[in-house]
Amino acid sequence: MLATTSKHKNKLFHKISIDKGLVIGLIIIILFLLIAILFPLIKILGTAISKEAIPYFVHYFKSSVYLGIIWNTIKLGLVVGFFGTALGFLFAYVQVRTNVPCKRFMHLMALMPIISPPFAVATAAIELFGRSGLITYELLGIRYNIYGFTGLTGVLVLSLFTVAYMNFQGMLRALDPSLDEAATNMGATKWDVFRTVTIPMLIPGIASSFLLLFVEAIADLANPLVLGGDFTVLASRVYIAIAGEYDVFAGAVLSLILLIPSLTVFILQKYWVSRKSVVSVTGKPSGRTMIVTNPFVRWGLFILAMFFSCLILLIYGTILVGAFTKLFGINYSFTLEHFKYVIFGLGSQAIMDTSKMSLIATPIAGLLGMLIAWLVVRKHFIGRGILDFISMLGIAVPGTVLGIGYLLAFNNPVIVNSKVILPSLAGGTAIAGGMIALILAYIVRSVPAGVRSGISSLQQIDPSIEEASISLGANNTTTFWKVTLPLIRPAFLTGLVYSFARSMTSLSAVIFLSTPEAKVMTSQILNEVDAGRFGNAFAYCDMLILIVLIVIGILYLVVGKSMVVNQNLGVSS
Amino acid sequence: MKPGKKETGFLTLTNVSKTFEQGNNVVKAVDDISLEIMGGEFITLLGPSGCGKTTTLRLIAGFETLTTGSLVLDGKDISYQLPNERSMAMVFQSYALFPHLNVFENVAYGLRLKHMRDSEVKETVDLILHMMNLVGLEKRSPAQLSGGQQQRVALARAMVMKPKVLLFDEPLSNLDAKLRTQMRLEIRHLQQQLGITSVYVTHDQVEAMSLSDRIVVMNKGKIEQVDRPEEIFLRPSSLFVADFIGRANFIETKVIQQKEDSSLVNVFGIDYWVVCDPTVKVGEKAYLMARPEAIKLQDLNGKKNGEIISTIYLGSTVEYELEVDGMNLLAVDASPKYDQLLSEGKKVSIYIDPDRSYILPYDGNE
Repeated sequence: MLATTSKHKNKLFHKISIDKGLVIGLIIIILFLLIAILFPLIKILGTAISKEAIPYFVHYFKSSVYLGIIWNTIKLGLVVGFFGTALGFLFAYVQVRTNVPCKRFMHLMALMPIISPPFAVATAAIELFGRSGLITYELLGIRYNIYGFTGLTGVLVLSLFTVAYMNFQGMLRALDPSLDEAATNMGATKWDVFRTVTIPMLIPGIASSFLLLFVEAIADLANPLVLGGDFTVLASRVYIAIAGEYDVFAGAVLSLILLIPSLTVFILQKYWVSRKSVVSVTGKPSGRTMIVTNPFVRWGLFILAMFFSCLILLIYGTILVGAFTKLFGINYSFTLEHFKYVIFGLGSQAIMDTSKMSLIATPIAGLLGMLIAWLVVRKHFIGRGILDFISMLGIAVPGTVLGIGYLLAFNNPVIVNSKVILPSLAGGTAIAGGMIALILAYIVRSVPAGVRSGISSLQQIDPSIEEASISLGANNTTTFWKVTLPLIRPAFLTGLVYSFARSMTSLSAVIFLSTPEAKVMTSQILNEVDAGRFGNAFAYCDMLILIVLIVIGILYLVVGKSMVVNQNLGVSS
Repeated sequence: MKPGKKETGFLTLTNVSKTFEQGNNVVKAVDDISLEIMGGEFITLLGPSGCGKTTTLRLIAGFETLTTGSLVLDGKDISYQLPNERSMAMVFQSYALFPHLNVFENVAYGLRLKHMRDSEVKETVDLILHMMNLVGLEKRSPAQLSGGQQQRVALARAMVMKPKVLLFDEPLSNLDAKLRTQMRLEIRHLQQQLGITSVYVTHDQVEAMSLSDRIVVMNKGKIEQVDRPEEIFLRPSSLFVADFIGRANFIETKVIQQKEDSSLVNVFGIDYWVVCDPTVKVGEKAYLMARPEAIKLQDLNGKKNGEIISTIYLGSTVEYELEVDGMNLLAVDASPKYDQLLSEGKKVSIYIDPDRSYILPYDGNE
């Protein structure tokens, strides 16, 4: 027997067996990241630092107009970050730490912005609070100018605070009540506990919400286009450079300038702030969450949160009613004209195209998200961190920047040594009328959310469950399909829902990619808003929201059914 | 079942090492171990946490890749075989049942992967469920089972595969004490019945003693001793093993004379002939290892050089902490009588039972 072992010992090179499924999965993901994210970004970088682009840099950093635009962008990010974090915290605190009525309603209102199309909130805000607004002019008799920094900030805060809300809600729920009890036990009042335990524990969460909102605010395109007025930010300036001036170099250089703060803040958030988190998710929370009992605090918070909830309801009500109103602000009579235009007229193709492309992108993005999450959490290979980082770029890079990157990368075929390596994917003359680039953009923008929810879900599941499957003879592919995916089904569902909603409502990344054969709904909405046909815009928005809700409903029925997965069992001890 | 009786399941580890990189540090989790496990043998890897026992098990399973060395199962080199292609099944500490499948489907999982016919799957699963006392629970989800039942399902799921080697990663540590004893017996019984080679990881020495044909005591990634339980307990090869398995007093002494495997030592003024580690030579310093049960306290005549410091009454035994010549010793009276309990402060004379003692080499650290 010993003879056999020494014979094996003499073998210098062992043939290491490799799981084929794993390798194929990895190759698909690497190809996707290379083509859909890295290549466009490299194209932008190449254009922005080319010889022809240098004069642009010189011009921008000397011109007070452009320095003003850069400052506007930063200012908008900071202010929206601050107020969005505050509003998100208010909603989360009321939800977790108070015992007040209408909590369900407030929760729903806080989630509304997820399925909200771009322009919807801004347009409704103009109708309600603008110069001839229903509330400002008709009710209060004020000719308020909503265009500019203040109006833009208000609308952005209301459209973006959901991220902060969900973040804080999760953290407040995860806070161990026994810490509060320990502080109280040592003589702290409720205010002391809030000041010395709750807030310090949440500081990483506060920082991370602020930074995420900053990134989203400076990347936003739709609202500055509609509400900016004289207040120009980088994102809208980039759009004008490409769509109005057809100046690719200006677009690329401005994109790079916008990319720098976005990526810096994103990296800060991901690799520094989120590591500082002291809120532990593991361990059994003991004791009962302490509820605010002081009536002034309790009802004060309630009134504040209710005010914003009602405001959101009012805005979405306007989006609904506005679609049936002849001319908001002048003629409030009922009409179906707008829907006729949208459903049977020019709008039908955009609705069909966008839905079709989103439906194709959704399952791909959902699966890719789960696959990347699985590889990142479970598999140990070199470059795991890089894979995670690049997959997150889809959301870290402002949509406008990504859109220009796609324009530069995919409008013409990639030719090396007079051989076509990659055919043209974007533009009317590309294969499938430019749909492939649009679908890729949808996927890239949706994958990060799936990856995040997949990662947090997988981290809760004991790895030995998957090892058990392997030990029983299943390979990695079988284990992923038969064990991992069923176990992280809630995260998968979240990824799918988010992908579809995100794709349908996406604007900045795809606005340059829309072609006559592949019409994007959100870009049609922009046309209507630009032309002042708000009724048509509202009808589009309503259709979009309806489609998103229907598909989410179907997804829950198909993917979410019989969700008997007992998560407790999967939690590692 | 006696080791070596079976033809299959003969597993050899040769110079197996595993290093992990943690930042700039390289940690040697398993450090050059070699081991032969006979077909049908029940072997336990025992040691404190961080000793490399679980890593060794995971190397055998294939969940970790060898840094150096080789694994041979029944003459076939499996060092780099994928874990799912090895004829082994593992039972996990956390049970690791599939929460989305019911008991029947959990057990059937591996069989279905082999594309076994439905009727055959049912027959095989029913048989093992019957064997494991799980009949009637087929349709339950794992969440609806007690800890003991869950572990039985996990065991059934592994055994139904008829693997050449069964691997156990501290399978009983999540159960309460009573259930643990019961499951221990069941595992031993089943293993002997089926004769599957088993590698069992635990830090619980009682578990190791009661289950194993042989115990592998590990420390800092290395094997300290491989032997039958009684050898490990009575003839430990090192201070570490003696200290880790059971409790022991180590009394510093010097070897006066030797014959055959025994040495003559003088402890607390009395000469004893005690079985001795073969590496200890005449004239060398050594330790007399005396289990607490080996120390007899007598309230009789003779030199009363010991004093009781504390008396702990535990019902079936009494533990005495005492001081002798400036040294603290632990003594256990295994059959205490009500009127013979020794109170604190009492002077006693000490006798060490040489048959329950052993002489270990002096390492200068103790």
